[in-house]
Amino acid sequence: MICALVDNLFDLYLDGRLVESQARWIKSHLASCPTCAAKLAAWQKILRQLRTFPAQPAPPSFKADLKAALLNDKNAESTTDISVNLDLTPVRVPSFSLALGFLAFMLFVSGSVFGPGIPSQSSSGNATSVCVADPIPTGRPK
Amino acid sequence: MESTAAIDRLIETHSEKAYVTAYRLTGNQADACDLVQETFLRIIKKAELYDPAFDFGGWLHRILFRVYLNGRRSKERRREISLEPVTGNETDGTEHKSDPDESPEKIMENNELRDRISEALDTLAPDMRACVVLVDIEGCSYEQAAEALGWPVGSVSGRIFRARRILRNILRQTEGEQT
Repeated sequence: MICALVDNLFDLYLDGRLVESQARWIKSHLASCPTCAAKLAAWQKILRQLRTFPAQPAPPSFKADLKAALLNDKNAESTTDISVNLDLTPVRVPSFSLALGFLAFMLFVSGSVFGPGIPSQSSSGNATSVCVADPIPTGRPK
Repeated sequence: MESTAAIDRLIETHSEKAYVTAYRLTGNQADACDLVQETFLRIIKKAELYDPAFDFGGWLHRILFRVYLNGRRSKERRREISLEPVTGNETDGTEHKSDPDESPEKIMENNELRDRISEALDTLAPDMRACVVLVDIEGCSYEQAAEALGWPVGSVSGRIFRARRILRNILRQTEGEQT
């Protein structure tokens, strides 16, 4: 039972992502359980191999083929000017959209300041306000 | 003319590193070349989206992983590849580099283990493999991997956990078969 629990925590233990008390608990278990210690050692060996996984060199014609493919694609899409595209400038903020948004906001604000406003914002306080409807219709028979 | 020079510069500076990562992701030369080519085409087309405030290599790395994940999702080429018969040493031209101070037995043992790890990696789903390549092979932190993949850190750690579990089970099985 404890071994299964420790087994689940191996990764976090090796990555140093456990709190100190958990790490200490696992360490003490490993000291007393040769099976778990062997499993951890085997996994450490695999992780070491992964970390030192050899980088594969590219085939000799790789760069030439890549260049040919990129240029080919460029020719196919002759409307796209790659030299402009590769000028890696920052993304510009669309100022027109911002101006339009600002204008819409100002219209909305001016509508609430100068216009009649929505009924719930009416501060006239008189009985004709749409919010204070007469609960008893006047033509009601008594 | 200027565009050709820009492409030359791009290839000279970044293609080899991109190939190394692409090879780790795909596990074979042909797919790695395709992945790099697709990534570079995407970079050229989307160059206006690049923000120079960030590292260009990191941006390329992110695009490479996205292209890999999208490509794998749509084509499911992994399945096709795993069904192909593997012939002798032609498996991807895997070169075994080893410490010259190690004994021949040790070198052979390490090479065998590397081959088994390589086969086990091929069984992983693309998203898990991407996480293993970033965290366990390239040594990124979970946070860096999450940034490269555009996922939350929790998604990366969950996939890493499951991927390692699968790798351990497969390697344990193959070890049992060998002994």
